[in-house]
Amino acid sequence: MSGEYNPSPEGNPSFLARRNRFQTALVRFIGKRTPKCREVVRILSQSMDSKLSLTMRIKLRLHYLICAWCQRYEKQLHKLRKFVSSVPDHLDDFSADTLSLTAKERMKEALREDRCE
Amino acid sequence: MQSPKIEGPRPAAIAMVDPEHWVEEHGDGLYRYALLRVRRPEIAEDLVQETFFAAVRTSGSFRGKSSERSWLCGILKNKICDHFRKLGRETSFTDLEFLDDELSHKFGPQGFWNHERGPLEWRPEAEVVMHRAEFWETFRNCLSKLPVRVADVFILREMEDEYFAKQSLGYVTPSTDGFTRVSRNELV
Repeated sequence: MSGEYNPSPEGNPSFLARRNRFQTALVRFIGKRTPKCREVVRILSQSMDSKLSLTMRIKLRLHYLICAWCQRYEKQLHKLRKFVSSVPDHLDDFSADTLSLTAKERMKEALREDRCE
Repeated sequence: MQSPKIEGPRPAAIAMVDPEHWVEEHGDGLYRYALLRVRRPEIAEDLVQETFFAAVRTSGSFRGKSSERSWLCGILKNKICDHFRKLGRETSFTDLEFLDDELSHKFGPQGFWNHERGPLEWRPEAEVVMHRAEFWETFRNCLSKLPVRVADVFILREMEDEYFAKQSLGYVTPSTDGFTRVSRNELV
């Protein structure tokens, strides 16, 4: 049965897995009707730039039921965005870069000369 | 606009233009702001110097409504934008294509995650880990590993905004690839 999603329930953190006949049926059903993980990853990355349609958002939510990894991926993309935008608040930890004393002196000198002209 | 949190003092009068004082007071802050975005020390230094020169010339337009630092940052931001424009990088997709391959081995032949290679839970929670100095060092390392073009788009887009990135780079590919790449390197 190629293309069919049939994940092992062993240590599977997803909400739905092949634990009983009912779940198995659900997993197959959802696996067929939602994008594959490789596609989901691409869609999620794009969603960071432009809004997803309602249909797609529903599909993703369904997909997450059978795939905890994609759900994690989405969470992590958002965390990344938060990290980047928080860099200015943690600038001292992120970067200890400073202008060297010589660089500063050079700048002051250049500004002094500039004023004299 | 994102400017460093440390604000400079408000000048008492617009006429009080003291560029040498600016270097001491704002030099490092501006330098870090620039370095974050252009990622080359020499260039960051040049841009900061150009900012001070420009500030001296246009000091008449500084109304004192924002802080000195914000005002200088605004000038610097434009310099940064000009810098990227001048570079006039051509749109090359080789950097971006390579990222598709980065993740491809993590999926099975049917396109589902290989369970052993899928994303791990990130512990501890973001709110906790953000207060650790080591985290920011790691994060910085991850960013430095991004291919240059990807880093440009990612950083400019996320630290400024899409408009600024478009103005500076002339094109905006989704910062998706930046996200993908950085997340791959992120440690648990």
